[in-house]
Amino acid sequence: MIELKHLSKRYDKRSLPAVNDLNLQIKDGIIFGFLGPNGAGKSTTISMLNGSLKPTKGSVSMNGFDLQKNPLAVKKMIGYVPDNPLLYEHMSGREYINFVCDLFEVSALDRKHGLDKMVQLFGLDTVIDQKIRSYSHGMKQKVCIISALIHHPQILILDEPMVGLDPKSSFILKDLMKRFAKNGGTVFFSTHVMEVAENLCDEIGIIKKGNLLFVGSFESLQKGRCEKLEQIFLSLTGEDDIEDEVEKSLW
Amino acid sequence: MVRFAFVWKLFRIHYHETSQLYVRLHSCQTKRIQKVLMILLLIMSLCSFGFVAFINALNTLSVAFQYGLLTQGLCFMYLSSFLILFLLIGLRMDTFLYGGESTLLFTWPLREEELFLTRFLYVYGYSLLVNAVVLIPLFVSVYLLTKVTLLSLFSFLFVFFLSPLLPIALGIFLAPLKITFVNKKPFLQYLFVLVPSFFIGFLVFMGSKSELGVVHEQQVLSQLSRFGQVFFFYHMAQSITCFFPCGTIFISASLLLFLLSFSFGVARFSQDFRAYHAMHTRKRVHTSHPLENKAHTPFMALYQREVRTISQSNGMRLEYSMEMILPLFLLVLWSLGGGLSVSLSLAQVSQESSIENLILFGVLSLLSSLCLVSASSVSREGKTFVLDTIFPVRSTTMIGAKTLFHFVSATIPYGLYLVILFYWQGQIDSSFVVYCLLFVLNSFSMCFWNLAIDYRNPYINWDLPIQAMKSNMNVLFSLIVNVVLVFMSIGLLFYMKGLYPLVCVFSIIHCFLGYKVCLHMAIKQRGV
Repeated sequence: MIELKHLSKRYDKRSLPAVNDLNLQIKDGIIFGFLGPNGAGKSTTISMLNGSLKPTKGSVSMNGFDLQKNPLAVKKMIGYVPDNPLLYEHMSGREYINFVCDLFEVSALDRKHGLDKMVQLFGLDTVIDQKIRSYSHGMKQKVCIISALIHHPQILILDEPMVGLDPKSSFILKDLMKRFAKNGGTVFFSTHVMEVAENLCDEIGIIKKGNLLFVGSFESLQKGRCEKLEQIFLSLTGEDDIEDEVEKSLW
Repeated sequence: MVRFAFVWKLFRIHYHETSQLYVRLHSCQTKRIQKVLMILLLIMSLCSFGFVAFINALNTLSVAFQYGLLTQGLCFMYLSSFLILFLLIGLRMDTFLYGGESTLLFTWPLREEELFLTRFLYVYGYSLLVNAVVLIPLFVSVYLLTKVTLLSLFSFLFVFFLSPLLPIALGIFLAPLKITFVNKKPFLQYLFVLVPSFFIGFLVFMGSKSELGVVHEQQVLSQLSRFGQVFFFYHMAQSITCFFPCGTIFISASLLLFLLSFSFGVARFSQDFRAYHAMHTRKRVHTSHPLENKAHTPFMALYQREVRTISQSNGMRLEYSMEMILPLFLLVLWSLGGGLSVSLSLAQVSQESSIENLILFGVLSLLSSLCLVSASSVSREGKTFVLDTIFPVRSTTMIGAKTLFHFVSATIPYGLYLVILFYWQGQIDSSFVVYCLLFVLNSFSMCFWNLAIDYRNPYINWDLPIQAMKSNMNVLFSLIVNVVLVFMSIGLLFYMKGLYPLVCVFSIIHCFLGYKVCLHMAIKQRGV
C-alpha cells in the first residue's frame, strides 16, 4: 500500500509549490494512473515516491514503512521505470541488469531464470550483450522495465512507461502490470495516453498545478455520463475549449 | 561572404553551452557567495600559475641576460610556451568539435566557414587566456632586465596575439588524423599523449646532460645553446630588437599558417564533425565480458561500476592516463627549469636527509592530490546520478566503493612513485615507514574531502564524459583543499621533528573528519 500524507514540494521559497498538500492512499492490488497536463507535478510526485527527491512537507509510506525513516527498506520494495531511460551507457544490457540485481541482492539462480525469460519476452535476446549506448530509446526502456521487475518488487512506480515502446512491448507491459496487481502488488504510473489509463487503471488521480483535482475509479469520474476519459480530463483541467483555440491560432 | 553577426551569435551559443564556468556563474542554483568564491579561486589559481611562470622566466632570462644570450633565452621560453599551448589546446582540437547546438548544427542554413570560425574563435580565446598566464610574466621579466622600448612593446603584442596560431594550426591539421585513428582503434589515442611526452623527454635528455645537483646556471646555458635558435621561435624572439625583417617574417609566417589551417579546417569541418560525433553515438559494440550472470556484493558491484565508468570512456581513460604520467611530466618540466637541481642542491647543502624526504613526500602528495579520480567521482555519473538516489544501498557502501577505487587507482600508483623515488635517493630509513603511512592517510583524507565537495553539488549535466573531469569546478575546489591538507602535513612534519606519532594523529583526525563530512553530504543527497 502507498500512502501519501500532506505531501508538498516547493523548489524555491518564492515560487509556487510543484506539489501542494497531496493526500493519497493506494491499496494493494490496485493499478493507479496518475494523470495531468505538462508541468502539473506528476514527475515531482514520482520522484518523491522513489526517494530521489526530498519533500518539503509531508510523508510517504509504503507497506507501513516511512520513506524518510526507513529509506532502505522502502527502496528495496520499489521497482522504478523513469520517463527518460537512465542507464549506464558503457554497460551492456545484461551487465546493467546484473548490476541492479547485485544492488538488490538477487541470488544468481533467481536472476538467471528471470533475466532470460524477460529478455526473451521483450525481444532483446539478440542485443542484450551489446553496449546500451547502441540501443534505441525503446530498447533502453525495455531494459529499464526488466531491471525494475527483476528483483520482484512489491510496488511498481512507472513514469510514462509506454513512451518509445513498440505495440507488442506496450501490450506485454500492460499485461505484466495487470498480473503484478493481480498478485497483490501496487502499480503507480503516470501517463498522457488516456486510452491506456481508461482501460488499465483501477483508480485514477488527476493533478493540475500541484493540486489533486480528482481521485477515484473511472466509473465514479464518469458519474453516469457516457463521456470518454479524454473529454472528462480536458474539462476537469479547464482545457475543454482547446478545439476553438487551435482553430483561432492556425486559421 | 562570412556573416559575422551569425558567427558572433553562434559563438555565444557555443560558449554558453560548453563553458562550465559560464554555466555555473549564470545558474540560479549557484548562490552569490559561491559565485564570488568561484571567481576568486579562478583568479588565485591563474595568479599562482602566473607566479610560477614568472619565477621560471626570470631565472632563465637573468642567466641568459648575464651571458648576453637574451634572444636565445626568449626563444627558449617561447618554445616552452608553444609546447604548453600545443599540449593543452593543439592536441585536444577534437574536443572543440562538440557543442550544445551540435544536433541541429547542419540543419541550419549556415556556411561551413561560419561554423568553423565559431569554433576557431572559441579555441583562440582559450589560447589567449593560457598565453596571458604564460607570456605576460615572461614579458614582465624581460622588462625587469632590459629597457622598455616602443618596438619591444609592439613586438610583444604581436607575439601575444599571433603565437597561438601555430599550435592551433597544428591541432587543426592533426584533428582529422586523430579522429580517424581513434575511430578505428580507440587505443591509438594514447599515441597522442605518448608521442609529445617522448618528445619532451627527448628535449630534456638533449638539453640536460647535468646530473642532479649540478649548478643551475650551467643547466640553463646548456639548454639555451641547444634550443635557443629554433627557426620560427628565434624570429619571434628577435623581433624584440629587430622588427624588420625578423618581426615581419614571424608575422607573415603566422598569418600564412592561419590561412592554410583555416582553409584546411573549413574543408574538413563537416566530415570531421560527423566522424567525431559518430565516435560518441551509435556503435554496435559487443562486450568482451563473459556472458554470464555472475553475482557480486553491492560493494563490489559499485566498485566495478567505478572502474567501468573510466575504462569505457575514451576521454576519461585518456585523462586518467595523463594524470598518471603527470608526475614524470612535471619532474621533467621542473628539471628543465632547474628547480629540481636547486632544491636537491639545497637539501645536500643542509646535509639533512629529512629535508630531501620532506621534498619528495610533499611533491608526491601534491601530485597525488592532482589526481581527479575522487574529485569528479560523483559528477562522472552524469544524469544517471539519479539512479544512485534510488538504489537501496547505504551511503557508507557507496563511499566505500568510491574510496576503494581511489585507493587502487591513485594511492597505490603514486605510493609506488614515492617508494621508487625514496629508493633512488637512498632515503629508505626508519622515517620511511612514517612517510608511507602519512601518505596513505593523506590520500584517504583527500579522497573523503573531495567526495564531500563533489557530493555537495555534483556537476552532472555534461555532454561529453571528459567534461565531468575537465570542466568541473568541484575539481578546482578539491585541489585547493588538497593543497591545504598537504601543506599542513608538511608544515607539521617540518616543525615537529621526531614527533611523528603526533603528526599521524593529526592526519587520522582530518581523515576521520573528512569521512564524516562526506557521509553527511552523501546522505543529504541520497537520503540513505
